Amino acid sequence: MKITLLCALGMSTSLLVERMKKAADRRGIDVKIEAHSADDIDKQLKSSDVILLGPQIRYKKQELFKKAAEEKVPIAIIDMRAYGSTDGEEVLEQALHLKK
Amino acid sequence: MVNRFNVFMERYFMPVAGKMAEQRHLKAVRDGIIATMPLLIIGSIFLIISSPPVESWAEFMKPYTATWSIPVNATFGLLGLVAVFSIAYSLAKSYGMDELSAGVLSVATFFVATPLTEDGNIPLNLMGSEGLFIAIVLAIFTVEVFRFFENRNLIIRMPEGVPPSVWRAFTALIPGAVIIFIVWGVDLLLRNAFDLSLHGVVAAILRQPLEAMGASLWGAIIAIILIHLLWSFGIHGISVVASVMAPIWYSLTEQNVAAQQAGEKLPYIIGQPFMAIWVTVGGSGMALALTILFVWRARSRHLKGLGRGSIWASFFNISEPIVFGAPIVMNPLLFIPFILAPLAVGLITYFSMSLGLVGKPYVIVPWTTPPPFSGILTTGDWRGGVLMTINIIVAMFIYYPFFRLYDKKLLEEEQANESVAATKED
Repeated sequence: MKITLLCALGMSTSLLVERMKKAADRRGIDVKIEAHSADDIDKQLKSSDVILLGPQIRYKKQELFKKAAEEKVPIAIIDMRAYGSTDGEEVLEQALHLKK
Repeated sequence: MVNRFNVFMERYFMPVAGKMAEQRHLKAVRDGIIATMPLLIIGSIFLIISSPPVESWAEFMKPYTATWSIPVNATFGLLGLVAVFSIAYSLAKSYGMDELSAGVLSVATFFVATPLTEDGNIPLNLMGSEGLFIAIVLAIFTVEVFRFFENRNLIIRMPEGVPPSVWRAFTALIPGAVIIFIVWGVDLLLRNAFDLSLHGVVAAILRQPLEAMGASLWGAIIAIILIHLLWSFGIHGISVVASVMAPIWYSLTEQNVAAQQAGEKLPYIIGQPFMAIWVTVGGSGMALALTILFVWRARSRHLKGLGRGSIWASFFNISEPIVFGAPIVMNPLLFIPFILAPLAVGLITYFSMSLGLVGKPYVIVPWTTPPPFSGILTTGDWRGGVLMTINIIVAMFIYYPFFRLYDKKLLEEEQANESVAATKED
């Protein structure tokens, strides 16, 4: 399973990715987590099972959600509080929940 | 109040910002210009060496300047030429058209519109930022006409079984010929009937007014306020604002480069380095200043921990951990100084540079370059580093009273929680 986080450049979200990987390790879940720029969504939709958006690009929601729906990939915006506290556990939980 | 404003922003403003940032043509222009970034950064390295700010070094370099300028001319100096290709490429790609044909065609269009020098050479000055706006116009024109023909099926269709690379070449034939014919005709008409050129017309109606706006202090102030207001609602402000302003900022900076190469006085203060480096040390909102206060002065566990955890990110100008973590988003106590600090820094920087206390920025560095090095590198002036350090200190003073209030509030909450000894802190 692959979770992809998208933000403006994939830079700030990569901090969260590290926390999520640790959380996944702790729980013994085999999952690939990557951060990318939202401009790469077309490519990422093809290889990802779940897509999460950084809250700072939620103004792009309409277009990105539409694209994800076309490819039938579940997508959501990361909770602002969880994003702020780089809460890897919670965001991982959000991603796993989406997949179900 | 804040809540109601927030609802208003989410409902009415957000879709507009989204539409603007995702608008097909603006996005293609932005992506096309971003594609030139590596060239600009590489060019900057050669520029610093060939036109150094230190006088004795400049004297020493003089005999070699022409040689060292070759890579600068081939990077910075081709901003317009590279952009016409990359913008047409991005736009065609967004339509799902054949992006390579569109890019190639637009390069030819660009040269059709470019008047040659008297001895029949390509004028280098029109290939750089002077050609950037006409590059935008021609790239969009080329792709739109191309698309018009494709949609109406006015193209040569090949029978099945012909390899794609072959039919692609034929697809571009009719629209390509028409596009070049139109641009050629318009340019000839302008030249013969009115003694004008396409370059001149685009400069007069598009480039000069936009640059005058972008280069003015007022333009910069409005941009700074807008960027930080957007961030205060948790929206990537610079992404939204730069989707309109980036061509203008890059063009201004490239003219500084040309002036620096020619050994002339630099014309502009505002430009790409001013907006992307100078007023955003530590990320948007001069966030490094606030992060330092968190580490140094915070008494609440939340801010202290956040500061320690994000000081390195902030040093490399990534501010999201602070913006969402403190949070600054929707928090008037912090978003007021978050807007005021970069404004004050912008004014100080502008006046220091216009008074000649510090050199004007002409070098483009990656936005993750940490302070005060980014200040020295962008201006090629050691005093740039001093000014940037002063700016950080000024920002700390602006943040301080707001930070104290917020820190006190959090500390009281933490203590209250502890006395109840129930809730778990994260």
